[in-house]
Amino acid sequence: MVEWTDFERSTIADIFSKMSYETVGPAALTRCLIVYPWTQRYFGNFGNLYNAAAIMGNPNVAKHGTTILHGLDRAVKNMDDIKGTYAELSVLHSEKLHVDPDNFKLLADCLTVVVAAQFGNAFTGEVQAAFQKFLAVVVSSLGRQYH
Amino acid sequence: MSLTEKDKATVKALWGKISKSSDAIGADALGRMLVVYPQTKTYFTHWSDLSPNSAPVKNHGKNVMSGVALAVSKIDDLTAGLLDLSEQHAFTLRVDPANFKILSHCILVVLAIMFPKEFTPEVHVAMDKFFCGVSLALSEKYR
Repeated sequence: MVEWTDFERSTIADIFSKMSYETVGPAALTRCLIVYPWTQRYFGNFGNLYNAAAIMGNPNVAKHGTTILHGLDRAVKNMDDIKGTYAELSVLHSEKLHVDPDNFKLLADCLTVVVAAQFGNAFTGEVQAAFQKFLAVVVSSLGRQYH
Repeated sequence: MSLTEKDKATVKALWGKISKSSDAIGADALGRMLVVYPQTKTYFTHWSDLSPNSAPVKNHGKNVMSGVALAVSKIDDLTAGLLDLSEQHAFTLRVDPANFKILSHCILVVLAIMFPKEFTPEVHVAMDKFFCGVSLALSEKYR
C-alpha cells in the first residue's frame, strides 16, 4: 500500500480543487500529442491532428482531455487504493485500447508542465514531488493489469 | 529525432528571451530536482547545504545553465561542441546518464512556471528535443 503524508494528501486535494478541468485536461492532452507525436497513434478516429494548430483546435481532443482528467478524480477520492480503483481501467487500456503503458508517463509529464504553468511559484519542489508521486502511482496502477 | 532548422530557431528564440534569467532557472531546476528526485542528492554529498536556494545549489545551477548556453551556441553540432563536458561527465563526474533526463524535465517545469506564455506546446517539443540532444552529446564519451 502506498503511504501518503498529510502534506501529500492535502497538496493533491488542493491542486485538484483549484484545477479547471476543461482547461487543464485539453491542454495536457494536446501538449502530449504535440510534444510526443507518436502518441497520436491512439487517436486515428479523432479527425485532423495534422499540425499543432489542428490539434489545439480539435474538439475531440479537448473533450477527451477533460474525460481523462475527470478519470483522475477517482484516484484523488481513493488515494488509499488507487490500484484497486483503476483495475478495470487498466484492463480496458490493455485489452481494448492496446495503449503502450510507457505513454501514461508521457501524459503525466505533460500534465505536470500544464499544472506548473497554472500554479506558477506555488508549484514548489515539494508540491511537484507530491504531484509526481501521485501521478506515478496512477501510472503504475494503469499498467498493472497488462500481461 | 534530430533537431530540424525550425527546432533550432525555436530554441535560439526562446533562449534569447530567457537567458537573462538563466541563473534563476538553473537554481530553481537544480533545487527542485534534489527535492523531487532525492536519489540525485547522492552526487552532492560534498555540499554543506542541499536545500533549494542554498549557496551551493545556486552556484551549481549557474554552472549547469552556462553549459546550456554553450549548447545553444553549438546547436549545429552538439557532439563536437560539448566534447569537453562529455569527458568531464564520463571520467570525472561519472553521473549516470539517466539523470540527464531528470534534470531536463525539471528545467522544462521551471520554464513552464517562469514563462507560461512563451512555453507553448511547439516551444516545449523543440526544447525537449534540444535537451535530448544535449543529454546524448554529454553521454558521448561514456563508453
